[in-house]
Amino acid sequence: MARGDQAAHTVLATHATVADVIAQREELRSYVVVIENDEPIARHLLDAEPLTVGRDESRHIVIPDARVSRLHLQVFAANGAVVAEDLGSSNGTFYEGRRIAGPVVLPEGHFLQVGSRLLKHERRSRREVEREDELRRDLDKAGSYVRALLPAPIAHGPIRTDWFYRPSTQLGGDAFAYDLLDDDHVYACLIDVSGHGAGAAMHTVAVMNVLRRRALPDTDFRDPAAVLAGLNAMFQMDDHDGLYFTLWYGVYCVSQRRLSYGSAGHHPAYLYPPGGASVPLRTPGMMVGAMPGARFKAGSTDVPPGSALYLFSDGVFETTTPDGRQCGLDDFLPLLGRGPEGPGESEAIYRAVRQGARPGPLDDDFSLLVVRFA
Amino acid sequence: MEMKQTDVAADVLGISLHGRLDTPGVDDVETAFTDTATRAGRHVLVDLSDVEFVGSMGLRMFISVAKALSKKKSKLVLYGARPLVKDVFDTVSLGDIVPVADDADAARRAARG
Repeated sequence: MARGDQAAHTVLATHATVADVIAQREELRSYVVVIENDEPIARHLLDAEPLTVGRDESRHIVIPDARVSRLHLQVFAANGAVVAEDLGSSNGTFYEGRRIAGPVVLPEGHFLQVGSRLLKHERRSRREVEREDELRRDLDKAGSYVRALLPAPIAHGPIRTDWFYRPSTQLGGDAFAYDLLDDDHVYACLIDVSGHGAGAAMHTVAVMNVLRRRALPDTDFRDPAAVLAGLNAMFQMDDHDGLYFTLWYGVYCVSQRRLSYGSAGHHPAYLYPPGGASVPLRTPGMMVGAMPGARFKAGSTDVPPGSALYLFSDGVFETTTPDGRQCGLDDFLPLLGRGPEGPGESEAIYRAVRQGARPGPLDDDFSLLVVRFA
Repeated sequence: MEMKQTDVAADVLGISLHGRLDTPGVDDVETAFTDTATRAGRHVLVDLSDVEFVGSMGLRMFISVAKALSKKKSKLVLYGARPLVKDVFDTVSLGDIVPVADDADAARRAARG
């Protein structure tokens, strides 16, 4: 065939091999993740074109916040790094607590603060992103189911409640409940299942349903020790994929003004009598499901009028400060008992914890229940 | 999360853990830790002096390995826990399932006792 004939009949075609496709899906790429109220709400791929950020609708990342300028900053790739550059915004862009002046490199896993939003640099392959999106959808469904089980706050009556619940991005195993047992007794409890994800959430739901329906055989639900023992017999970790849970369970007798309680591997709940020192309420006992036949104890205490009970999961105090210090219960306790009393108190405590922690979502579920006794 | 092992004695294996035993940390070491400990055929002492945090998955790992070793008449003993970690152990009464000692010598005695 003559050369000219070859040119006339040349057909160009691309043939992607399976290996090529796999390689494309495995290649790591940089993303900017927008985080609002500890929740990732959008992910933007950073490619050759800079990502603009601002209040104006024409920007790649739109932040509808009056503190954000119409064109606030841009994020772009340069020499293998991701760089953030404030474009003369009125209120600034912040990195590690300091207002940036000039371009700054944003390492993987690090955050920028822009108005009320955080922007996080992540490196992910396409396959990882797809898998994460699918997992996120499943976790959102599981999280919605758990949230649907939580009782409504009580605004009036001899007992009033206020609570704040914010699951971690990985969806932990927190849940809580309270309800009348009879005309004179009310129970309240908080459970924390080990681990994260849909499995932990499913276990939480199973335990909560047993409690809500009083489905422990031959068990007086006014006896905390009996309830803990019954749950331990029903939910041994060897029979439930290695899952155990910690639990605080209390029963308030309205006529006697007496609170009975028991804890299984759980830190204390704290009772704040008016004008008095806080009282930690905890009984010795291991977590539920760790050992067959484990024994549990109950304690009891009087509840003066106007007292408040704070019941919470370890996610509220096992946080990390911006300089990397691990916090503990002693860091959290000063936030309790300061008020203001009433609806919103638990959310105000959450905001205080959030302010003291490093940027980004908290490491674990945040569950805080405040019970006030008239 | 990192893991190192040392031969302490014919009947005792030492493992030291370094870092945070949160969910990602446990994901890093659980298979190797469980494998090493359960195949050792002897008591296992775990040095936690360089572990800054232990979460629920870390506790679960220790409980599971302790139960597996118990079936082989061996013990898992933890020691050297930092104050915050020790608080967690005390709260969950971990010592009722997995012995927790102050130092290596006490851990050896607890394993052989």
